[in-house]
Amino acid sequence: MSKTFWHRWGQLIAATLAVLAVVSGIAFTTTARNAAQASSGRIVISFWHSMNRPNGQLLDKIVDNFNQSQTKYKVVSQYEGSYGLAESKYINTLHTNVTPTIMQQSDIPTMTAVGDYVPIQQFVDADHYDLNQFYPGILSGFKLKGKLQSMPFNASSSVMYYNKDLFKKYGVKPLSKSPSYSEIRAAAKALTEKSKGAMKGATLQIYPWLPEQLAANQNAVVVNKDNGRTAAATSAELNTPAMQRTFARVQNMIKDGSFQNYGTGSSASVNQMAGFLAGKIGIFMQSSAAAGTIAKGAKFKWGETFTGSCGRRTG
Amino acid sequence: MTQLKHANHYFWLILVALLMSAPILIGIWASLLPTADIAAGHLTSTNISLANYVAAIQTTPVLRYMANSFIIAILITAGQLVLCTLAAYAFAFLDFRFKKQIFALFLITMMLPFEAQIIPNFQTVRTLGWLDSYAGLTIPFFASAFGVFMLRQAFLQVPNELHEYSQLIGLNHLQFLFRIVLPYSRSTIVTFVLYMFLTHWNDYLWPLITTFTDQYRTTQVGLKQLQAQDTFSNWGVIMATAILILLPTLIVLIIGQCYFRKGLNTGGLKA
Repeated sequence: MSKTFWHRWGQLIAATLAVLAVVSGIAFTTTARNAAQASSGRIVISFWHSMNRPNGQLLDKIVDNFNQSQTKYKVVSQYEGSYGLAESKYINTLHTNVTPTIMQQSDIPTMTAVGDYVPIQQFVDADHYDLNQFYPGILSGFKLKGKLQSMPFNASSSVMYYNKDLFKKYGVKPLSKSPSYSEIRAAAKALTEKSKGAMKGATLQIYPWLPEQLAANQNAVVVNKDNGRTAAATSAELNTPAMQRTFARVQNMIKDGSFQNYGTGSSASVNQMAGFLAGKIGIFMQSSAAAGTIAKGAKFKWGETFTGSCGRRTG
Repeated sequence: MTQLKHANHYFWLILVALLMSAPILIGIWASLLPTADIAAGHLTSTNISLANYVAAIQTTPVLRYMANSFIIAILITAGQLVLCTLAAYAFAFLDFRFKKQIFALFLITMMLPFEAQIIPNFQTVRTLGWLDSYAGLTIPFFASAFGVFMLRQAFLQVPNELHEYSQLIGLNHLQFLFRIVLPYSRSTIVTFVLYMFLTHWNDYLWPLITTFTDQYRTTQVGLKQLQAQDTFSNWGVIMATAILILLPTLIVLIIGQCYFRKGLNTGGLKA
């Protein structure tokens, strides 16, 4: 009886076992890889960042230099998309084989919301690292209740970029160092009208950081408890006079017909940048980190100014 | 008169064919142009060169991405081929209890889109520590209801006489499978292999959420990565990369064209 059983099913069972062997083989090499990475002599430090284009290339160079400067650690840097994307990847893979050792993030609130990180203050204290080499203003932005949460690495501020050649071509006066809102609106309108629709005067990407900056420029916060710095924020303060003024200004430019809407989502900033570099946009607001991209890609003279203000700026 | 009719037909056919292939043709053309010309909208530029392809291979990990896609597509196809063949054989030739119900259960999983299975699959792979690995990229796809269904339909067309004859001469199940069933269903098997290879070569969503380093990124995800990392300055390189990624698909399609026609038809002819 058992003989016929093996005669009939032996090969099938063997085939099934073979499949299982292949599966576990693939699985095993995977586990082995993770173990091997840790035991290759150097301590692997995985580093997730959101630096792309020239900034990303520069960061890779810094990492390479560090790796070549010593043999104890190996930093493996990996671009993980925008801050938002990298953050959600981090949250969804916490405590797994891919969790990064170090991560670059845009601001404190997002990381405190995730919670699972070691404040940099602990390392600063242990190493007696001298924080006085940083600008106090920048340092305070990364502090929570007096404790440094993350290392200021690529602190950027919002600025306005404009295409000097287009301003000249259409005879519009260049923007001042710290342009007022009415100056920006007038320039955008003049550019749009004088170019007869070949270009739009200005744009503002639908990206939360930008209105936040515009509100901050008017000494306003976007969430309560001093933007969540004195305690965890409990409510948003979006419907403030400062925010209303900000959006009324955008609305005015839309009414003037001098505003280009690049929409929202991951391709909005890309399209905005492409539009500016192709000379289709006169003025746009973006992080000062974009200067590298513009310097590399712009075939025209361009200028950089402080974020547009409403004449109420105190700082 | 008929010649005129033919000419008329061909005129419209060529027109529609050009229209349909325009995006690819424009893509190929753009991949040969310098990025500066593309950005400025000079599509009629004559500065044609292969510089973008050289740059794509030298400055981006596109070859690594392609190697990963190959490994993943081949592993999945092989895994599916083995498992689906065995499962389909059972459904086609063996008699066991609840056969119909189990087969219905298989088919039900076809109604469930992969997107709906992503969260449980992700949790499983994450817990197993398979994120960012070939295991995590391939093993969840080893079982395929579509494959079982397609092969079962093909196996059902094997004449019963052959089955009886094989029993008469004392072939066991695996001998029957390898010597008679598989050769008989060759065109379906080839279609199945090509189809699965193409499907998994083009996988996007799963590799997107389970790969975190260039070591394991596949072509489709890698292309998106390249675009995000370096968009504005290098449209030419991105187009060149896209065309490079397209090549294996085209080769597989050209080779397998006749099988595709034959194979996908057989499934529906006879149940």
